[in-house]
Amino acid sequence: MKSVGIKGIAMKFESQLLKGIAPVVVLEILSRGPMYGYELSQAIEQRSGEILTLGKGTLYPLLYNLEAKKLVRGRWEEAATGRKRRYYSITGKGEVELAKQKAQFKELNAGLKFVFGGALSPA
Amino acid sequence: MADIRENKDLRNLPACVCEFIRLVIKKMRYRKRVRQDVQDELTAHFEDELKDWPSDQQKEQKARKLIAEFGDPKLLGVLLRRAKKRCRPLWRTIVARTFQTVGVLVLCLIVYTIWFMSGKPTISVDYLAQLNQMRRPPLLDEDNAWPHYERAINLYIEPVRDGVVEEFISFRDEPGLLEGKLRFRDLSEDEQAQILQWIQQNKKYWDNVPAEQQNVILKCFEYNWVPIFKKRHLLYRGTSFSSMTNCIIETIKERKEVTEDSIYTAAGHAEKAGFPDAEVIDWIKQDKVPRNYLEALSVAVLDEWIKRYKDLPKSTLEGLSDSEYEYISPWVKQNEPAWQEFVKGSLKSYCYREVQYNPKDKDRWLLNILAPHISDLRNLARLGIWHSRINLKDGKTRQALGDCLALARAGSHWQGKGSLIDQLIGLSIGAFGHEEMLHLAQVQNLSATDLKELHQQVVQIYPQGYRLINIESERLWFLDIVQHVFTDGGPGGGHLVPSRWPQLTGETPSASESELGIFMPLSAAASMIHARRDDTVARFNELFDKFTEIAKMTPYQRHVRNLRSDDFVSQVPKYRYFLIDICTPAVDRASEFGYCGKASHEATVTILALKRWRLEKNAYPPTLDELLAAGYLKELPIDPYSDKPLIYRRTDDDFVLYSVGPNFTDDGGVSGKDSKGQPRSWRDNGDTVFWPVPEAKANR
Repeated sequence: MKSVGIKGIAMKFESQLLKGIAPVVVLEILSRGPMYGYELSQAIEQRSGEILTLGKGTLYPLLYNLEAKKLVRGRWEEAATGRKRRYYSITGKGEVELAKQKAQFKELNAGLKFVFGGALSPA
Repeated sequence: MADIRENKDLRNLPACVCEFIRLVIKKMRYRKRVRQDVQDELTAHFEDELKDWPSDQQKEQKARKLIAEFGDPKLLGVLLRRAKKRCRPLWRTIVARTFQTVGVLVLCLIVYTIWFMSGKPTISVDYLAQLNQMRRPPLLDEDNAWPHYERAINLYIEPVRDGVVEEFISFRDEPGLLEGKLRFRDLSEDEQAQILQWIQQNKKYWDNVPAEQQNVILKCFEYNWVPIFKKRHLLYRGTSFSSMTNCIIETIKERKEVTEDSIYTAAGHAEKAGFPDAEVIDWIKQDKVPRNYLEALSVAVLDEWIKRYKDLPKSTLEGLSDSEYEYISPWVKQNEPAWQEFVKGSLKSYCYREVQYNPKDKDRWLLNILAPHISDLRNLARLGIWHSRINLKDGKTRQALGDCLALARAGSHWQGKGSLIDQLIGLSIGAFGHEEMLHLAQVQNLSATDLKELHQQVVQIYPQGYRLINIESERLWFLDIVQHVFTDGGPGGGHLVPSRWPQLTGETPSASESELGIFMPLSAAASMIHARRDDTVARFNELFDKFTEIAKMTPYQRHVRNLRSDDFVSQVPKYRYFLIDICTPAVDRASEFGYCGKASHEATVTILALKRWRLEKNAYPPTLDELLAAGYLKELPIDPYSDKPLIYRRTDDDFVLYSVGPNFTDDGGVSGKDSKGQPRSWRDNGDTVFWPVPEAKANR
């Protein structure tokens, strides 16, 4: 993920800060149903309120890496129009990993709230 | 992979997208199927992104924006490749890694092999100087025998190879040869009469041959070759003397005519120096081939045959026959200057000859040092024996004994130090002298004065004790081989150089590159397996120290302890130390030769002492201890095969003195024999009898 924008204001996050988020976001989106690459990138943008966008150059390497870790599964499907697309769906292992990552983020968020007080709450 | 533009789904995409996807896939450099999948996926993505842009221009703009968002195609290709590699199943990963590992190992092996094969030895130690130093006396002076021996070698005239002199010399060396020799007296009386009658009938043809041509034909007989003419005397051929003899005798027996066709012939030229080829060929050119040549020649051949073999000896103990004397004495007399130089040399106190490298050997191996003197010395020794026999036939007993002593002394010059070959030659020459001496003592009644003088001189041959075999020079041989076949430095001190194998296995010093090619892979593999230089040298030195101890032991001591040098060698892993395996000297055998020589010398001294005792006291002593007590012997002769004194037993008016021999068993004085049943010394099927001197007989 290369850039995050609050509506109307573009902001660049530190890449190290975002490095761990992208896989979790992808797993969370896919946990709601199988999607193909383009569809996934659109879903991320829409469901994050256009705050998060996944760089095109990052998308497919990320999907393949998740596939290698067996967190997602890819399969080719042919649509009625004859067009072939590769759909990705989360696996059981991916579900477990997602739950684990979400728990960690909750803990992190709670801790940061204590540190920053109410400063992390949306304006 | 199909051209990306060929994909029907891409025809609707802008060219820049096609180019972008093509670049990304190209940079992936992965399996075709995987790249196809990625291509399809990227294509589908771009189609979805651009489907809502109706015009080509808008699509083009959007496409360029998307391409910018995807980023560098090379980097993307690399990232996709890495990610896809992580997706492959474990077995595929293992196979891929294995191939990579094997590839790396093969590359390392190739590099290692190139380094290995390109190694060259460094010759840094002059082992030749060390070898020469071993034999060098403290002070080199005019008491060196070698200049005399060298002159003797240069003066020596050898008999014609395979000629009549050589044939007669061989009869005494190999009594078995007499068995195969057809003799006039072996024929029946009728056959003898038939042959004599034939000779008488055809003698006129030989008498009609001009004297000059008769001399040429008789000269050919010296070479054991007979000139024949075929095709109406136009073709010059030849045959051996024995073949011609047999052919004529068979023809006469069958009462047929001797013709050109009945004689087997080969090329006419005898190919020997001095053979009168030119004169014979001249007869054809000048049309001077004698009339009735074949008949005349046959008469001459039969006359020569009868004369040659009429009184051949039946045993080695018989005195020289008239025919032996007639054929051999001219050759012995011809070599008188050579023999006198040899005798002068034998009277010197030592013999030092500086060994030199073979000038043809540019690598200067000790293996290839010049040793031309070995066969020359052996020839001179053989000359000495015949010189002694001729002297004996001429009634010159003291001179004959002097010849034997010269051989025994000369043999001692080469013993005890220097190369093993030189020492073995010395043993051999010394053995000739001792054996001939005993043979002479057996056939001739020596006077008390002669016996005493002979006894004293034989004792004086080894004033500081008999010189046994010294194998130290063999260590130098091996170390020299090491420095010629191993590199100097690197892991373990150096490795074996494959290109050196031909020299090591006996090829010419400069083997050609093409000859090495076929066996190079084997040599390289064997060299890689072989232990490194330091390890090889250490192992060899350890082994050689054991050999040195073994060489000092008598055969009996080794037998009792069941010690054999081969057993120590076999404990060394052959595949890692095959250099040691192939370069190890035959220590046991060499040491045994030394002890046999010692026993022969001591036996000779003892026999002469016994003979003296007999002359003075009219009987032989009951035991050898009497000789010791009376001062005739300083020590008892020891049998190397029992570590006890040689066995002595009085007989009627003689005695027996023998060693139990290599079978370590007392066979009661029955001599060991060779495959033809002739008595031989140091055989494992009987004793070695020194006295009475065993007699080798011809059975015919």
